[in-house]
Amino acid sequence: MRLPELTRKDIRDILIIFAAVTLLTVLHFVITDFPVFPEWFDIVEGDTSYTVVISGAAQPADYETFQRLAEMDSTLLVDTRSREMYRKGHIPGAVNVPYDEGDASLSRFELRGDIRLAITYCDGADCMSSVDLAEKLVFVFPEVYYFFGGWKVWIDKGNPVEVGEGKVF
Amino acid sequence: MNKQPILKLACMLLLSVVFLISGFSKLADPHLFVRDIMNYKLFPPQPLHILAIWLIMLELFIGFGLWIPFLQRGSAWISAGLMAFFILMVAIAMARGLDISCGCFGQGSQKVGWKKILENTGLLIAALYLLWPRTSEKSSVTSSDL
Repeated sequence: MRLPELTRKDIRDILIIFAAVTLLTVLHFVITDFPVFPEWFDIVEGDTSYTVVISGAAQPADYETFQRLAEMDSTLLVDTRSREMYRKGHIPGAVNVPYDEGDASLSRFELRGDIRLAITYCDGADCMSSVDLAEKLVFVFPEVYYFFGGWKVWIDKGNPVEVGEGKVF
Repeated sequence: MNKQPILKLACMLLLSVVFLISGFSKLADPHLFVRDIMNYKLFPPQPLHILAIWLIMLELFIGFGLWIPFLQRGSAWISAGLMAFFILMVAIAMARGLDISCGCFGQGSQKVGWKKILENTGLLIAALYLLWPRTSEKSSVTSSDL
């Protein structure tokens, strides 16, 4: 059985395609405001390290990413549900900033220079308040994520919960 | 009945649709694709934006290129190479115990795993089928063959 043969013409065609794609890539950077080189920072705490590329926009965090980032001291967890829901149970270490208080809280956030990364969450996939607050927090913190699965996924995974007033921001 | 032209058309359609959906979904949110690449922990941050956009443009180009006669073989070879590269990346991530999104289709991506390797292997076979010498003297796929 004959195998596919990579001919000189094929190599020429491949190189032409690569050249065309490179040209399209350059055009993309020229036409859009997508930066050529990313800004990034490293969070290193003990044995744990995580490189965060600054995107300038709130990004979704899946459960595994949320778990890894939530443990770091320079991460701020923000619960955007109502105060009543927060007191009944929240993710340990999260502060409560109900979404309708978000604008008034932004100035308090700006005073916290030690926070390099913020993650918001609310009830779950049907709740958009975590996304809405995250999109405001990108102007305050270097990088912001929203944990889309939220409280529902945290509970479903059997994780510990904290009740009561929790941390004050 | 000679089924070769129909099979080759099916392979072209499959590869083209996959690459175009993949390319456009990543183009819609390149920051997310950058993060997906970062999660593989194989590249430093500096070239990530260039790498991400170049890969997106490559997928879109060969998604269309598979239908253009003088670009078909080159696109098929690159398709095969890309699939082999993706299989290798997923295998390395699995070997390192990384539980990450494959980054294949932007927000709708699956996790890395054997299912993803099998899917990519299927696409690799489809790309190689386009390159396989036919029983006739011609070895390149042209639109007249279809």
